[in-house]
Amino acid sequence: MGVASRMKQWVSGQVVLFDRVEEVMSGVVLMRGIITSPKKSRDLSNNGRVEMKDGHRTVKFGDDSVPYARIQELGGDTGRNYATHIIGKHYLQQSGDSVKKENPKKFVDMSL
Amino acid sequence: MIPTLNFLQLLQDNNLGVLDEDLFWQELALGETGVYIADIGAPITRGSRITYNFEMYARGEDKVDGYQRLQAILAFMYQIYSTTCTLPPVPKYDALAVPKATIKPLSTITTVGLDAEDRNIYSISGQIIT
Repeated sequence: MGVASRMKQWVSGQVVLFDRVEEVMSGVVLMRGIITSPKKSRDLSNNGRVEMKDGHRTVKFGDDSVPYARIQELGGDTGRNYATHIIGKHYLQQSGDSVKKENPKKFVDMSL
Repeated sequence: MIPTLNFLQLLQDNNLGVLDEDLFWQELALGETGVYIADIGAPITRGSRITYNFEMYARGEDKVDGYQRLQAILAFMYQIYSTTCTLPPVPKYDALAVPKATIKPLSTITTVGLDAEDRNIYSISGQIIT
C-alpha cells in the first residue's frame, strides 16, 4: 500500500492560478492607465495594451504611431530648441502604484 | 447577454445614473464626467456558473462628486449582494436579461490617482456571478 503524491497536479494548479492573477492585475493596471492618461486626441489612451514578454505580461503605452507616450508619462522638453516643457502626468506609474498598494487577496479572489 | 452592460441598466433603473450620459460601458478613453465599467480578464467558468470580474471608475466634477457616485453604487451593491437578482435587458443595445445573477463587491473605494485634468479617479471592484 502506498500514498500517491498529488504534488505535480497541485503545482500545475498553482501555476494556472498565478497566471490568472497576473492577467487580472495587468488588466487592472491597463484600465487604470487608460482612464488616467491624457485624452486630447485619445490616441494615447487607445494605444494602451498588455504584451507578453518572456512568459510575463507587461502593460505598455506608446509605439511608432504614439511616440509621445514616454514624454507624457515622464515629462521633459520638446519642440524647436526644446522650448516646450511638458510636465509628466505619471499616468502609468500611478496606475501601477494604486494596484500595488491594494490587498493582493483581492486579485486572487478575482482569479479563482 | 453582456452582464456588465446589464448591470449598468440595473443601476439606471435604480436611479444611479443614465446609460451613455454618466454611466459608460468600456469607454475609458472618453474623458467625460461619470462612472465607467470595464471587464477585467476573461470570464471564469466553474461548473455551470460563470464569474465576470469588473472594475468601476468614477471621474467627478470635483474630488467629492466622483467618490459620492461610487459610494451610492457600492451601497446598492451591498444591498443586493445577499439576494439573487435578474439583471434587466438593455433595449438600446439588444442585450437580453441575465437571470439568477449575484453581484459581489470585492473592494472598498480606492483612489487611483489624478487624470490629466487633475480630477480624482476612484475605483471599486466586483464580480457578477451568473
